[in-house]
Amino acid sequence: MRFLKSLVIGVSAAGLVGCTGVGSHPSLTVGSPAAPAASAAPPASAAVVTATAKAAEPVSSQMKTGARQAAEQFYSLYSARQFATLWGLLSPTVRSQVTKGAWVGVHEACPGTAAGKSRTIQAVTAFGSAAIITEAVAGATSTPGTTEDVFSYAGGQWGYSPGVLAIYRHGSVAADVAAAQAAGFCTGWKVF
Amino acid sequence: MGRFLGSSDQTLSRRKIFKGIAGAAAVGAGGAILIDKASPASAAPLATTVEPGAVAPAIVVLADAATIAVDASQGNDFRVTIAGDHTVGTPTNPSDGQKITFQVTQGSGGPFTLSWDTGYQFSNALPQPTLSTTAGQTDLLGFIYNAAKGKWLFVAFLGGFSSATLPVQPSGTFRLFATVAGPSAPVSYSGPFMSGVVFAVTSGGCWLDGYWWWVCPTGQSTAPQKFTLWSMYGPPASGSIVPGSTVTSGALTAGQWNYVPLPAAVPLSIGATYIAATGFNGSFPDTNSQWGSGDPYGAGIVSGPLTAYSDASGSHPSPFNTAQSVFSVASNDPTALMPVYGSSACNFWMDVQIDTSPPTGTSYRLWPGYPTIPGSISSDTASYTLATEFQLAESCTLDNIWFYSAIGASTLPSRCAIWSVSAQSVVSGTDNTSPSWSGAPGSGWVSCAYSGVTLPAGDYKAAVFNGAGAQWFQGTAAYWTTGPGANGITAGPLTAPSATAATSPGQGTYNQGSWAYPQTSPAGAGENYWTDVEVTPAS
Repeated sequence: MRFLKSLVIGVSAAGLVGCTGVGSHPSLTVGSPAAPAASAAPPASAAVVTATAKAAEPVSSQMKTGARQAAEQFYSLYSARQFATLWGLLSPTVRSQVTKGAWVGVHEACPGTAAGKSRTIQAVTAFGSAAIITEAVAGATSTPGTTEDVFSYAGGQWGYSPGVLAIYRHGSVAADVAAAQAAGFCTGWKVF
Repeated sequence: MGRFLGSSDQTLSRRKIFKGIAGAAAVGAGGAILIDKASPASAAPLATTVEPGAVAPAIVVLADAATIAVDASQGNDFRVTIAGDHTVGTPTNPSDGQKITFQVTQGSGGPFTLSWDTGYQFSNALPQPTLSTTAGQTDLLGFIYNAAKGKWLFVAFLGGFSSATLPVQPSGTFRLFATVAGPSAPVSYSGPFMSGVVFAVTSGGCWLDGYWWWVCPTGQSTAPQKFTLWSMYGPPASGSIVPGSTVTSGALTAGQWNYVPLPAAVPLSIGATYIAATGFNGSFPDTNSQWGSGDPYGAGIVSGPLTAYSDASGSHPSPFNTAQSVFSVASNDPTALMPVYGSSACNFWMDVQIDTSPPTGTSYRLWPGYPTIPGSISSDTASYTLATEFQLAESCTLDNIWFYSAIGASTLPSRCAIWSVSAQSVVSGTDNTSPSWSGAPGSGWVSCAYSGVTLPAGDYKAAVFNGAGAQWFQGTAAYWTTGPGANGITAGPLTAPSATAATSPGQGTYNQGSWAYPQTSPAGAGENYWTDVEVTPAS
């Protein structure tokens, strides 16, 4: 049994391999290949959303324009079900946590009822390096008929930040799809 | 002859309207203001101007500082909570005849006094007042500007207003923004929104009393809203709600911090990363560039045992690469999901109240309020007796032995007990060879209840054993050496010593293969196997 002095709590366990079996010391090696911390921990630089350098922030009017353009492009591709291309329009921090395979696999299997419907941007609320896009979905039946999405500005571009990242963290596309179905995304009209 | 304020007049500033009605205004029950500029002889209903709807002077929340800056062009009703002996600066941009009031509230840690800049003038009949001395109380002061004198003349003082909606922060409690007001106006928005702040406590024996939430003077919802506490465990965006931490407020009050107490204080754990969150619809308070490098809170905030992290660019970044503060628009229900997005180190003005005074009759644990431990189950399937050493400073009843059954565990310990360190024997009445755990394998913390067992002050080990040959425990390396337990953990009479303070061979001990006194621990390892104890002082 190898003595694992170097282990630290939480996400740092991601790099551990081997070290199985029984020995004279309780092994702290993670036991399941599907264990979240063993496979899904991002690199240290991969924040959920981190502050961008202040100098890189666009001014407010540019922010709204840029966010609107990014959202329009994103929704256009979403309506066209171009999910592989859409993955590249996720914010960098989200891309570091959601693999392209998971994103494309989940959305192709569970595109959402309104994936093919048109969306009209009704408002852009910009603050800091984020913008909330309020859009109306054609044919949405539930009240209020609008929904909100977050776009984040980092690295000189805007990227979509899904509201529920946990959907993509079940270890397999099938499990992610099942989670999306259970959460109602596959029959809903919101982007996820 | 009075005149009706037509559409062109509606562009008048609130300050000018306030000045115009001074001395001749009456506010009706419905809020309408009657303005009569006619001579007495011509006074008649037709000569009365009726302004539909309420007209109120703008409320200006002043920033507390050594010298409190006042801009008279911003309004007539100035409010400030003071956290030190400060000076009120002479208002800039005055207008002859302008009437202003100050509402001065005593912050915690006082009492504090105010000095008045040379632009203010007091009289023998009404000299400088003595302010209230109780935290939370508000004094009201009135001034009129006389341009000929170039002075603000002190004309009124009423002291000692208490606040029914702003309870005094008790001593022994800690907040992040106790002496700072939030913004005067929110970010205009319609839709669901959640705000959160990422924090930790740095000692055992801390409780969450409740939440503080800033509501801007205008433009922000005052409807009741829900608050909850998440415990993050990684990967980013993964968290569990701390049991007992969810509460819904009553109607909120604009222009101040609102305190939303929990029905019962919730114990918190050292080493846990918490997000206090609230959800609502509509506009939200926000101040950009607060938590990053070079920002006011670029090093985070330390308030006693309460610590708020900085943003990633600051010097005390949040664990799990999480932003500070955090938000979400996916729901207005903070229990539906944990907000994790940040934006340029924005501050969304969420706060908590942490208490170091134990609730009456409380029990004590080492790791309360920590539903999911970061990390994963060990692949080790060997038989072990695993233990955590603890000391009692006074006689306590034994309530529970707790064990963290990690996700993926298929079996629970088959035996648990308290060992005496000095005698290296099981304490009488604590050896349970068929424990009935409170939860299923893999469900997180599970407990084995005890009754009628009193542990005298002394040194003990809480121990569990499992020989089922399946994955069953989670360990955290270096927890008691360089991790959160490096200085030990003390909660009331209960202390878990650090690796170096524990009896030889150190904290975090085990015995392989059988149920026996756990006395093995690799030198310097300080591993934590997440076995806990819950006790209540006997007296």
